[in-house]
Amino acid sequence: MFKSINFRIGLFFLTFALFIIVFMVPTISEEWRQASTADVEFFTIGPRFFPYLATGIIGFLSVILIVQSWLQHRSGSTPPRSVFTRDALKAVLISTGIGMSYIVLIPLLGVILVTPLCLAAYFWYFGLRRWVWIVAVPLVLTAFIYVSFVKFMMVPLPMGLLER
Amino acid sequence: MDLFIDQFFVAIQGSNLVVLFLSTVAGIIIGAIPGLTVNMAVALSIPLTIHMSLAQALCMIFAIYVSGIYGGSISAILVNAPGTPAAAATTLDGYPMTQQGRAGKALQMALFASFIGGIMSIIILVLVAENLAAVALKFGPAERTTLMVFALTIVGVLSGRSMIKGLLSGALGLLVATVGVDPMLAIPRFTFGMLELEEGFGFIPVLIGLFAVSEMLVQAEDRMQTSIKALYKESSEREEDSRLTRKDILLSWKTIIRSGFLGAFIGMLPGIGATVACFFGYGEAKRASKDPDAFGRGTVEGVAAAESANNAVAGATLIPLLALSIPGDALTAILYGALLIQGVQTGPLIFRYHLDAVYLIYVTLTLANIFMAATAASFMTFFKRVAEVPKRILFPIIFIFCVVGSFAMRNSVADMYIMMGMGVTGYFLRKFEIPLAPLLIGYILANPFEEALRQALVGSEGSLTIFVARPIAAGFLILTVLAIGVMIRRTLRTRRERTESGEDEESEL
Repeated sequence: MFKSINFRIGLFFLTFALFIIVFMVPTISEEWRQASTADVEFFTIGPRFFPYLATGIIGFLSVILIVQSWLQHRSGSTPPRSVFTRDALKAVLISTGIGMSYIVLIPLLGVILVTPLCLAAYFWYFGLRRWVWIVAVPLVLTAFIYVSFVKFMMVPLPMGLLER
Repeated sequence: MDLFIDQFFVAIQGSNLVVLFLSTVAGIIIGAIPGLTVNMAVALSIPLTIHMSLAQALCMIFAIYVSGIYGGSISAILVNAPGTPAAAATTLDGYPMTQQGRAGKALQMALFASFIGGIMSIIILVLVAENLAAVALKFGPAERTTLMVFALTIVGVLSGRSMIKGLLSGALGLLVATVGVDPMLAIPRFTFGMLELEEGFGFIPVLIGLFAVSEMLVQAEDRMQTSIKALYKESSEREEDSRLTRKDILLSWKTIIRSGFLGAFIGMLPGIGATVACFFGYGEAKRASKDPDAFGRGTVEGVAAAESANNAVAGATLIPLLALSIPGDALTAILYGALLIQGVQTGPLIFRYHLDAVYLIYVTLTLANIFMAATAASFMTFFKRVAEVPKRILFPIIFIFCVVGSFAMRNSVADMYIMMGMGVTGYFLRKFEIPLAPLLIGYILANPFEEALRQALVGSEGSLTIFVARPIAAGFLILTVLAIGVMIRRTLRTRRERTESGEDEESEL
């Protein structure tokens, strides 16, 4: 049962829901209760209500997923198993890493400097080796982004080093 | 009528027609490339619409939407790989036709049926939406609450293989939307003192992350080594098999009309969408055909049925969005956001205060269908070639646009991180077969849902009986329970049938 992917999903979301309910929702301020200046008390519902409701539904559905996995295990049927392979996860991790580096570096170095580097890194990682892909296309695309977003749509993209 | 004519002339201005043409080309190309979805294409187009007029924005979005759904049929017919899920049923007869050397005929029938289906759905949209909105104007907070419960349940129940996972996804969407200032008392929730989070997670980063970045990560698993070109097969096409004949049209016209109506009906219901519509249209065409055995072996009727049904969804799916402000699927959820950015609030009042926008929607949607037909017919050979562009070139370029597009909306660096976070979340949800559409729709409906729910409960002083005491509200609750009941029954029946036939795989509730 513990190898069933649905059991693990259920357990993850149940833990997540409990974490939100116990630690996160109580951080929402309840000062509005004291802030009321009305002479007559009126019924109202505070800002914690909806997060509790949404998280409660997540918790409830997670329990159903866990119970369902348990019932499947009892009936002897083959539960859905892990969907990840080591190579696939590694590729996703590296792709995410390149993407995150791009986002982190944009405010520091600027879109113009980082975009060609990011594109070249992706192309290289995905197996393109010709200079057209590693140099020319990233530069042309960066120029296109600069012209279309900065000049045409007036979006103040971070320029980083070039700003100074 | 004057207003309608005014909007027609607004829509056919030169710059709008240029946007329509370019977006149609982009939509067909993106739809034709397996792995690039219409949802992703429309999501990526939203940042570009920020600085456009409403007419230009609508031209761009509808052209990509309509032509993207059609574009899916090109690769479905040529390489047996539907460019979009909506073209899945097209492969059943389209690909056998290609193997028989009749690809040209299949492609032309797909185009013809898509166009007729699209136009039929617009007619139904015009006839139904305003009347439905008139009814919706009578809704109070209790009715709105239960309507949204019903819509979220239907979307959750029907979006994926598992009802529980669909509902879980919808609830996650509700939770994601609680970040930011509370809509009634303006108290910050989960912002941790960060000003950037007070407005909540921006629509564009959430959307682009969920659909575009997660798609890129799924495709990155094999380092994008799959070559579409390798899947293409040369076909020796004869002259009479390369084009649509009058005989083909006479054989298929009833199927096209029937599937068009079915697709439009399915489009009106939240949560079902074009994928189900194409299979439904195909199944009905097979059932009604004089030669049902020909289906699956390469008949033009099969292609006509699937394509007419999936394109008929496009207009009809706008009915709940315009009349009730309920997006029925991910695409209309994206469209909802695009309209909000343009300052147009959907819902019953749109017919009172923004009738110009409604007419503009009708006109641009019609123009999008006409441009799709004209462009696809003129440049078919070009689209066939472009569908071969490797994913490893396209996806990195798309990622750059994702990042820049996320930033552009609010000039916020935080939005780029939110986009990446949602992308990684979307990737894991996809891998766990948790559908993304309910999450997006839950996220969009969360604020109006919370407001309606709290208003209703304040009005009843906390008593839940308000939801059963009012007939329309109670009706929606009954429909919700029925939808869940039908889904449970269907799942149990599938499970029993599989057990009896000795299949080991368990159907999920």
